[in-house]
Amino acid sequence: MNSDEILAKITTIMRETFNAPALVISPEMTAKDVKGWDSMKNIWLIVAIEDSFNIKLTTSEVIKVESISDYVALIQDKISN
Amino acid sequence: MKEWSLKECSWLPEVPTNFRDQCVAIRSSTGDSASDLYRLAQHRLNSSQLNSLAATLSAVQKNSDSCQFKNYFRLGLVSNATTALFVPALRASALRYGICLDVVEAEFGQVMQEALDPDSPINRADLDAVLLALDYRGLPFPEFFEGFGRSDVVTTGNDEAVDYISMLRDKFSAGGKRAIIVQTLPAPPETLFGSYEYRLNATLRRQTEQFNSRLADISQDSAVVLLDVAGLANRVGLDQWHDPMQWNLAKLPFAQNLVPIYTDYIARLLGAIRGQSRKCLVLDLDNTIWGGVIGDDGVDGISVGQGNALSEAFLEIQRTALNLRSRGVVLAVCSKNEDATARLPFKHHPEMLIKEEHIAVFQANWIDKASNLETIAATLNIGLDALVLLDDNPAERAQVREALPQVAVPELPEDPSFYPRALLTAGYFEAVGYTADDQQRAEQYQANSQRSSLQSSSRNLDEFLQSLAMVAKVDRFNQQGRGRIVQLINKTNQFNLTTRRYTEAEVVAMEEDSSIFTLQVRLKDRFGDNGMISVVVCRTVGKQWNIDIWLMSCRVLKRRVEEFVLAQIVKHAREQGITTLQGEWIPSARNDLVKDHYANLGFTPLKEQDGSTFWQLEVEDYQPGTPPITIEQS
Repeated sequence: MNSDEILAKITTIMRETFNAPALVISPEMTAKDVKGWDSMKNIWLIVAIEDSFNIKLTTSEVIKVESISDYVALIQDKISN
Repeated sequence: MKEWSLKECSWLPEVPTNFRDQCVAIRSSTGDSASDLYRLAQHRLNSSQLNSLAATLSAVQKNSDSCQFKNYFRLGLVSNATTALFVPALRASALRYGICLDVVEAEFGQVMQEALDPDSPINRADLDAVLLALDYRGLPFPEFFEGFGRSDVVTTGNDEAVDYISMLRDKFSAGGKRAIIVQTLPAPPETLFGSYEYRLNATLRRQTEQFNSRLADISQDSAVVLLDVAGLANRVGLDQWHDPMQWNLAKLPFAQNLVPIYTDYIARLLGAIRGQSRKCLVLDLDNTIWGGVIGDDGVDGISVGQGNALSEAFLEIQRTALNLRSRGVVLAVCSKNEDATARLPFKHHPEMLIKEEHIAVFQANWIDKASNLETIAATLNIGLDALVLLDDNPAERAQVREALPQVAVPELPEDPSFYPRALLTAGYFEAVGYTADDQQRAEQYQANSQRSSLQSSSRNLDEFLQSLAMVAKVDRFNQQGRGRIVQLINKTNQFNLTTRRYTEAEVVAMEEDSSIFTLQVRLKDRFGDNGMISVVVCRTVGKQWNIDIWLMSCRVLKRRVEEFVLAQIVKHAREQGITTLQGEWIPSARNDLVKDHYANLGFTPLKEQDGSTFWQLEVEDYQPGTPPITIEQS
């Protein structure tokens, strides 16, 4: 899965999580750029990402990620190993 | 086919592909949004879909005052952990049980403050129940390293935790007006000693277990309702349940991918509190309770009984149905078959556990299943929303769901060995109590349905009543009858002339008061014992009896029991020199049925006052009827 495919899948997840069907994301975006991306929704996002990519994120990874590109890199790293 | 899974609620049908479009449509619809939401909630929704449905519900609540749900429930939520994440999912899950749920959350970590402050958000709110969603970290168990193995630690620790729960119950129950729902505690999976852990009292493994067992005791004699989260966590697996990363990250008390099943567990309990649990299990026959097709394979060809793995699987399905029946769930049959053919295994297969006598309504014909289910509900005089259909055929299941969304139809795994698990996990028969009455309910409903089939075969009502061979037993109030008398006085709504409620203490006082005449009536017929079915209380004023209570169980409506009861009252009145009976109908929301009760019995109207009507009968003018009821001599 390349980074574009991962980004597309994250878009779907985020549209569902934030209940925003028209949401468009780009790699440099962070929580403050997306309406509704608060700390609570962030947990939903983490759980949904773990579920749909079938991966497990660690505590240190979760507290470090900020931007969409952080997520993409993290996921890419997890699924290639 | 995907594996059957508890956490994915596999008994629910798959989510329609246009789920999100349907949510949008409900928001902008002007139609019956409540039933659209109910219908959509019946699917296997994941967390984000539950959240979307909850958002749709919020929009509907905001935009439309006219949307009428079957039930409303207001729940307070108190926890030592983060609950905000599952609240929307809980509201959506409640829709599955026909409940429009509003949740009032206590502030995070403010359990004690909420309890002690009479003006706290929870104590201030108008609530039906409060859920104490505490886990082991929220209860005063002593830290193990503070003194493990000391026997006093375990005693003190548990007493403290139980006292704490009792205190919270007392503070939150608003003087007994609210139910308090308390969770059993899943143990943490980590052990310090390995197997030896179980021998040490002060370990959390033992502490939580002992706490749970004491909680069961508390809930026997108070307003506490148990939510068996420990049982759920054990089924999921404690390692799956507890996610230390999520706890550290946001104080989430259990892994968030389990939210759909956790909230369904709560919702089904709220449903049970609201009386929404289902009452009747309808069984398909071919390949559901036996293997094979009776019409093709014959009695010798179908598979059920000891001997091979598959036939034993069907035996287990039958055992499950019978166990449910002895719990009070009525059994019925709905099968596409010739009636005579369908009955063959019940009559002639030696290993069938279910017999014809266990089946209250037997519908085997070629009419569509939805119509047959309607007949079953009508015959038993229960709602369609009290039915569960167990059927191996996916097409039939889909058709029934489409035609009758109120009927629960579990999706089944391919392998019949797993049918009992699917059926019993779905939460259809959730209970918040279990009484002697429940144990007999299946038989009572069954007797009722036999009576009604007799009624349709009898040419007229009198003939039918004659054929019932009714025998009544009449007594003054006494200690043996007291429990049921109090229950009838406080529960009967329809056939109840005055709807006056009395406590047990007041009923005891009536037994001893010579100025009060009391009557309790039991009724048997050829189909069984109906138990106590009527209660009368008269207060003496001079030479007159004022009928303070006259009520009757609707189970024996239209059987001329009231005529029989009046004859009994008159007989005693004469013996005691009473000349006049005065009756009163106080209208309530539910007792229109007895508006003309006294007129029908030959009383003359006396007056109307504040909406109530008063009626009078001179004892010497009384003309006895001839209800076909004989009296049992005690």
